[in-house]
Amino acid sequence: MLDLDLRADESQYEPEPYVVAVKAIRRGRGNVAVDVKREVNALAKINQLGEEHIVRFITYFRRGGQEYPDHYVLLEWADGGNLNDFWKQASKRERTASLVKWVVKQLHGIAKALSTVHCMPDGVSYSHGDLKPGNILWFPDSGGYGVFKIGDWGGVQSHNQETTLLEGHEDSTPPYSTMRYGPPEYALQLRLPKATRRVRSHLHDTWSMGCIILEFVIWLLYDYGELREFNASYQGYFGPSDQFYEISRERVVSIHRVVEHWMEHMSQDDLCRSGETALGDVLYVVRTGLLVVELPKDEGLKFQAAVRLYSSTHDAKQRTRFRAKELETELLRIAQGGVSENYWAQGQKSTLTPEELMGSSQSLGPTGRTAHLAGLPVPSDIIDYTHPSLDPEDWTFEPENDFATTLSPRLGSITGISPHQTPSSTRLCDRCRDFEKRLLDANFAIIYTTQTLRMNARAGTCDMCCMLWRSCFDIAIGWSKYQQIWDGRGGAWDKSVSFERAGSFLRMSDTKCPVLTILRSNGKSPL
Amino acid sequence: MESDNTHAIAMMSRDVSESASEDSSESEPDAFESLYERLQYSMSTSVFERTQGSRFLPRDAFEKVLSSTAAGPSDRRNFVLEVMGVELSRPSEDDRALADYILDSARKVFLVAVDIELEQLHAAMKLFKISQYKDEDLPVEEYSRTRLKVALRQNHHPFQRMETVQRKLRGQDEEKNRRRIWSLPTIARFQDSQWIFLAPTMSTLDLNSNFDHRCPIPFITKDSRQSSGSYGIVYKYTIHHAHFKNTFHQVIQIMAHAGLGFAG
Repeated sequence: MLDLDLRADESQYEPEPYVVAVKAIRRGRGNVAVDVKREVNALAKINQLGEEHIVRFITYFRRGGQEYPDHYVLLEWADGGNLNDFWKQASKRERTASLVKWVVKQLHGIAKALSTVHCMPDGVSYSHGDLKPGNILWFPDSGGYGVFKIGDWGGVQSHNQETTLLEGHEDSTPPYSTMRYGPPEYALQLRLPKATRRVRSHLHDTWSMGCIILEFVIWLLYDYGELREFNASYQGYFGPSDQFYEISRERVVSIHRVVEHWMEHMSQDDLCRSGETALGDVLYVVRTGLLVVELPKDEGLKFQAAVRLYSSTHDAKQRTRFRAKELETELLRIAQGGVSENYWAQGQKSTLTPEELMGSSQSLGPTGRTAHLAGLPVPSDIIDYTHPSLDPEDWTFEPENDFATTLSPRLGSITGISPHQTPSSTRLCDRCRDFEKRLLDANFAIIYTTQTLRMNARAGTCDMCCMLWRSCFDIAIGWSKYQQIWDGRGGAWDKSVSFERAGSFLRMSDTKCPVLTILRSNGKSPL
Repeated sequence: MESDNTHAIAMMSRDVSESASEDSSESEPDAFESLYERLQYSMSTSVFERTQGSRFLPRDAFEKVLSSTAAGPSDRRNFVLEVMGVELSRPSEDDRALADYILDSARKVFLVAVDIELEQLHAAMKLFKISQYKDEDLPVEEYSRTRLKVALRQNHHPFQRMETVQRKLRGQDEEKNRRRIWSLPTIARFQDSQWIFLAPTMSTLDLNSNFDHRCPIPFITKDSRQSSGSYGIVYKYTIHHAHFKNTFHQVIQIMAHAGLGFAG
């Protein structure tokens, strides 16, 4: 079964630790096996590119039952964490010319990697679909600042290039990508009826890059604190909005007024002037090529038709969003430009950050760029107001401590019994004592032989075994195959049963829904 | 085939007398104790979230034991024979062949038998050799106690079957005073212990591994930090160096020349 050989060929194994990132794929969403297969296939293909700025995929394995196995993806471990961690840790570093050069080089490297992935040699290409600072991983090195790599390809989507250029590609990935860094067309599609064909093009990634690069410019120009301030300013022109764009009540899409306000303010800063400083040129690329609602005609027309969006009339000079290749070219131009040190070095303190936008003053609305960012009106008749279909298998279970805290005293006063009262004595077998000891571990898992559970429960020698055995029985009622656990008839299911912790719940082997809830008394340890 | 059987009968017949002397011995051979102790000392513990606390023997551990105790092939052979309690002064051809078989194809089977302190180790390994039971046949199918009882009663368990075949070949007379090697307790111990020796290797070449839930995953350290993404939770682990086959550059070359396969 296993390809193992105890005859170790020492030359194959270097006696050094192999630190890896192990991604445990979430259960309880769609068809996990299909999603994982897509991700692993893409990761393996992307590995072939040998791109410096893409996290190296190591391997993948499944374990556990045939029906609901656990899936694990192994990747190289990023010692520095992600881009957010970098911004936080390097916040106080002097903004030297070498730092700015390095940042531009890294951004160019990432753009180049994206460009390559978007246009693979064999005709099949991929889009990431969930680029954000948390997915740009930081690999520090001893000699310099290190390397940034794109990680978490869980939302990867394969495209056939022949069709992608014209019409995007049907989005078969689950809608879990981060909304904040997603483009407006992504949000608009989510509003469409479920049956509507949804598409995702490579331009999704370049919008996200625009968001990330803008945040990087803010960090370089100001500081981590100011970047946090920017990220907290989500009071949009049309109401609260966490994205880099806004959609009006009339379904007009435009750049978020706070984003526009910051970009406009920064562009007036001497350290961020387009054509004079690297930062200024980078900001210009963001404003004119990345955070752009309008899509290129060849990609946009079919795409918009697919989602039945109506583009407003545009003048001939209207800009459209860059593809990754164009972004790569622009960043390379900046990286190679600026013979003068002044182009890179900041040398002086930047001016203050923009004043906070308050309320919804008309004067602070989107600037003159609105003309070429004029949104995409969405006919109201295609907005779906029906509830999405609810699949119990996809439900998530959240602890509701506030509710429990409120309800508990009321129950106590009605029944005279406190639900948090600890039993005066609890009989536990050795296995259950181990259970008790390790339960606080977030990854707690324990295996019982069903024979032990059954015997202890029937003999009443262990209260915990009684409860666990009762859980087996409850599951058996709802799931015929577990019936064998209960009645002890032969087959594989009469041997053992495992209980695994999933947040505040315990799941039984091969079940998705929790079988027990972990209750913690106020100020007391569980159990 | 006939000669094979004759050979097998001869081997097993000789083992009857050896086994009797092995059984009568009060103390185990020193080599056995030494190997047993060193194996226990070499065990690692999995810290993987789902197999936390499970022991496993790193795949290079036995090789290290051999390297430190035996210089050449003949010393290695002698070491294995000594562990099985075979007199080294004049090892037979059969014993030498048995040692080679263990070293070549049945190291894990042998180590499981050592780990469960199987009393008739020599006889058991001969049975495995005759039946050509090798490491690649592990894990032996796990039976519940109830099912095992039934299987033993009906002579359905593979270990019991291989023993019964040899007993029949040797004839009833020789078997009267001989205890069975494989019984419910020994098989149950073998079933439980085998997983210690089956910790898998993580390989950049194998992208479609499917591990049994009883297989200890050879992660030996775990960082308390974890990050949560849209699609899963990421943990930092260290893979035991003997369980990681890093052939990344080889992978790139292979994939560049061949289509990538992923059997869903």
